[in-house]
Amino acid sequence: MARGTVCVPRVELLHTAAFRYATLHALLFLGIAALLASAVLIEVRHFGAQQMHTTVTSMSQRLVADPDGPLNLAELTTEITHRIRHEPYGPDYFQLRDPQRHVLVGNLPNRQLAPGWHILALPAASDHSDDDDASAEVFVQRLTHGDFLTVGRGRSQLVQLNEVLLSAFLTAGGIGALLTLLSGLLLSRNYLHRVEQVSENASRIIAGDLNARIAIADAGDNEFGLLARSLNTMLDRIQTLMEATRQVSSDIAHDLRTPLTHLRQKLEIALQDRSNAHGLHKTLAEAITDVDAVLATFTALLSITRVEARDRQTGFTAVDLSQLLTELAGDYQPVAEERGQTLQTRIMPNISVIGDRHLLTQMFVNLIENALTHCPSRTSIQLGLQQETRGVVTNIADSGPGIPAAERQRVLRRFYRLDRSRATSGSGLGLALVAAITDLHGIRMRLLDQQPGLRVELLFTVIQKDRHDS
Amino acid sequence: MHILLIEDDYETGAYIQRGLHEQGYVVDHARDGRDGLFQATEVQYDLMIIDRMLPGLDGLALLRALRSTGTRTPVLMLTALGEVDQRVEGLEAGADDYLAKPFAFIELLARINALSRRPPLQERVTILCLTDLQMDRLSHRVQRAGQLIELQPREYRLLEYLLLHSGEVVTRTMLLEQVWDFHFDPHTSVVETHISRLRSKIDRDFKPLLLHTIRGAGYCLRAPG
Repeated sequence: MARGTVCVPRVELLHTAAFRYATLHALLFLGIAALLASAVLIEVRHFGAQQMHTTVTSMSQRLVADPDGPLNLAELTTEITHRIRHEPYGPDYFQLRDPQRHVLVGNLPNRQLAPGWHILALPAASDHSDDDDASAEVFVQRLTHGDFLTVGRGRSQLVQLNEVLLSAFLTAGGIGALLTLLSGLLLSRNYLHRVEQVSENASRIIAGDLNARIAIADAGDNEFGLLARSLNTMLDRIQTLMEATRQVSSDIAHDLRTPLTHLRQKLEIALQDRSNAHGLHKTLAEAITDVDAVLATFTALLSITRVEARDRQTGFTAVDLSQLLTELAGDYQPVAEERGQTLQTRIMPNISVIGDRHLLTQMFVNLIENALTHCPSRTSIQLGLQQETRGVVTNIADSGPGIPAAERQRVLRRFYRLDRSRATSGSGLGLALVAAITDLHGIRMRLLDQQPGLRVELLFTVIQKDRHDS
Repeated sequence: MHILLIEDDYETGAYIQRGLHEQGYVVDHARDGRDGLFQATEVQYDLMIIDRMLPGLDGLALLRALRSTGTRTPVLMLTALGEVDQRVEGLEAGADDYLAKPFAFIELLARINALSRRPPLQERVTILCLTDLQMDRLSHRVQRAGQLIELQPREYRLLEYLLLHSGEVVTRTMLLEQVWDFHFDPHTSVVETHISRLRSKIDRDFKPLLLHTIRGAGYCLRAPG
């Protein structure tokens, strides 16, 4: 795919995860609403039926047991006739039959019913409501003189209440589900928009624009802001690494071109000068030395890369720093003496740290050798180790020319060399390796002015261990 | 001496084979891991040189397979640009020594010599001596011609290593690895300085000279004759 035409597939609105969740939520909401509605309807129906029974019972009791004593048949007939004259179509229904079950009076259809509770269908016209299946709850009892009294009440109100409730639930549920879907749609559009912003930036980066960043302004402090910020931090890190890689590549090319050019010149001269066998031998020996120098640079670079790529603290063990530094001092005191320098130590005993012994050794060797090679004779180098409240501190100090303040950070970079050091041997990688090792160990390194000279302070912050603990 | 070389790179293989042949060694060259393993189990070799990265069967796996069959033949493992962690892995798999490419041929030769002459159990000998030079590894006392010699700890370890390999050429890298436990190349003359200090202590006031510098190769502790 050509640069700049990289595209990230777009997501359809209805296929977004957010919309799917919204749909799911709408369904869930509907289910809960239906459950709630059924419970309410059942309760209401139950309550209505109870109320009906109570009403009908009390009506029939009042009819039979008047405060002035039980009514006789004639009185009962008069009372019922009176009552149904005003309301022939309910809601109260009455019927009185004689023991032969002939209807004496009433507004109920003529049906033979045994004593007890019944639901009686009413003729359509007999009810106010346009309800097709109008019915009444009736109670049939046999009176003391053998007559049958039926008292009832129309169920239309109860049925209506049920219907109203049901339709209310249906409407509310429908609107609720619709609203949920709508809000889900809006939410997913919003999410989709922001996700698209991120992926658009990602495709710009894929296309090669490493400076692209995700806009945080409108996202603020919410999760999108958080995501954007961490992605941007990651992009910063990647950009730094990419630039470092680019820098290193050009540094390598530059640094290796010189020795390789020299090598080529020597070989060319040797090729032309066929007569001199001794000269040829000498040139070949020099050529091997040149190649070795190039290879040493590669090895040093690889060491740095390996240290940088290593998993933090895998394979770390307790390292007796007091012993290590004492041994190194013993190794380098004769070297210093030979160079007319002195190496002094102030090493506290029994201080241990957690680390990679080989890497720590190499780090101290690099720092000690740096001090030795960059200082003239009759200078002194101090090697110190002490336990302080802030942690284990080592100092490698010299009374040499030091490093100008402006250059102190730069000397930690690969291939960086001070102008005055160009004449001395060395790859310009020693301090870069030290920096990589301190990073790996969580050691805080500071280059300080010793006036005159340089003091490298190493503070073991993250991990340290007293030897008496183990 | 019969050596098996398992190395996939043609140039490196030919270079090693030619060099060792000139030194009087008989060298069989296998070009991949499977061939190498087959040959190693068929023929009784005195020493094997195994490249770490091999097609067919990886050098480490090959070595583990060999060691699991009970083969005790000394093995020198070769690797591109050796690193300490890789070295440890190689040694744990059963290699006796480990050498990073590219190397000087003299370095390879010195290591082959050290491996092939390594007498069993010599590490546990308590008294090491060469003519009138004597080291007591229990009391840590060193004498020459009956005269007690004071050595610094590193000088003691240096002399101990030289005595264990007396008569052999030991290279600067071998000393750095074995005596200093430095797996990198220091930029100052730390080895040379200690050799010269040791020499002044064991050789200056005595005859004959025991500690010799072999130009372009390393050092050798040996009695004349």
